[in-house]
Amino acid sequence: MKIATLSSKKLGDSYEGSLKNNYLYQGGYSEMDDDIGWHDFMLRNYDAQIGRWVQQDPYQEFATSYTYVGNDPINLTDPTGGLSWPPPGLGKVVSSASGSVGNVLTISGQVGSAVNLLSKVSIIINTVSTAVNIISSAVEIKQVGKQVAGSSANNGEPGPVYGMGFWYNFGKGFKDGGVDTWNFVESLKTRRGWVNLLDGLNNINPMGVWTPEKVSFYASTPDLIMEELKKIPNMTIDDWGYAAGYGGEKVIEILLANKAAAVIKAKLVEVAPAAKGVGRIQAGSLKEFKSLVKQLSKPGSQLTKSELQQFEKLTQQFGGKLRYDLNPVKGKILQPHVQVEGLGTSVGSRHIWVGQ
Amino acid sequence: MEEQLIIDFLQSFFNLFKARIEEYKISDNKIFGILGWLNEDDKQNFILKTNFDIFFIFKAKLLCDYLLENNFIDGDKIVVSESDLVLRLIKDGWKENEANEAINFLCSFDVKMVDEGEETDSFYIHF
Repeated sequence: MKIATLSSKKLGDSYEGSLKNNYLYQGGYSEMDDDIGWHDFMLRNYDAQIGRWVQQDPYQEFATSYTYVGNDPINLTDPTGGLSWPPPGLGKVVSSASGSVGNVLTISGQVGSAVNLLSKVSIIINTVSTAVNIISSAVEIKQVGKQVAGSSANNGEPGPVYGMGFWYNFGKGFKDGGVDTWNFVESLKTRRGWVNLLDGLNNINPMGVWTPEKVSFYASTPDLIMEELKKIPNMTIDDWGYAAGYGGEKVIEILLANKAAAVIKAKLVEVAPAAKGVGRIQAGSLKEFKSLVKQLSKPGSQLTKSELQQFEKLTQQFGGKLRYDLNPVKGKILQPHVQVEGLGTSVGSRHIWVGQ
Repeated sequence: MEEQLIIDFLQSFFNLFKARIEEYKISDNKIFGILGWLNEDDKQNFILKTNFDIFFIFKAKLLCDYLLENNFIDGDKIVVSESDLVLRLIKDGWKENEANEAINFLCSFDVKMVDEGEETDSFYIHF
């Protein structure tokens, strides 16, 4: 009873009729659902009454799947209900460099929503990479003595094609920059992508302090970058073309970053079901279990290790067991799989694919 | 004649999965059918593209029956080694090349399960 009396919901009820703010929890990351009292995040619902997520952690980030940021709300936040922020290890990296985990939030420009977080990080990383990549590209080109060479700007792809002129290399640089951008966006589907992003930020700016003013400065001064390029001696017209094209793409990237955030968000949502892991290993009845088995036996539905454990437990709950066949040696399909025993031969014929 | 051979083989093949063919039709070199299981309400649609060499069908059917009779199958897995199986077949009157051909055929054979019109998993046998 005491809990009910002291709960935030009770407090809320007493203010019924007043102007409501549905964006209470973690700022603008979630919207309060009045009917059930849950905070609706991108990937999960949070019940502030009990201080727990309502659904399991789609990424199995912590030992228990329902706790908020592993019970470490001082150092971590969770903008989507998916991965906590900053990812493990990054807080230490940044804090060791800057003296404060809080600077991670400074990096994001004190964002008020997941979208803003994504967009601002996008702006920052790409703005920074604009400067660093173009300059390092030019420097490396110079260092290798005008040979066609990979550079940090384009992840090892060949740089300018010498003798082809400014405009040819402008197009090539632009295209390579576009590939980089796409790869960057794609990488944000994964935890590793986010780790790389902040690792990259830390490498570029060892002090780890990116204020909104600095971001704005870099975002609004592509001319400065070009001026810096001009200071590098012995650049050929091909170097110039490539660098200008690459830089041009990056400038456009900066301008579009806010719009791209919606795309990134959509991609995160798109990838979330696959990443949800244990979220899909659920069945409330034998009928649902059989339906689940059918779903899991579709091509491309490989179980992760943790999913397999969940699935085995679930199978046992319904009175069945798994027969493991992780090393088929001859046959049409040789993927590792398990099969359900004891719950009927129809479901037993299905192959539950296990990731390598 | 050829059609009946395939159906007979298919039924022996599905016996390995304790399933029986309840309905089928043949159209455009494909066999569409429905499987049922004893004491179960579940049904399973299947499709088989009959673009395989029918030459091995008869021996493959005998092999399926042999595996079942000798309890050499567990789920979709043949639980004796390939060399052991060949030796046992030879001992039971098979020629070595026939045994190998039947095994190879059976291990390269699969029947697609169809769920809601979509090909998903397969029935297949492996070591």
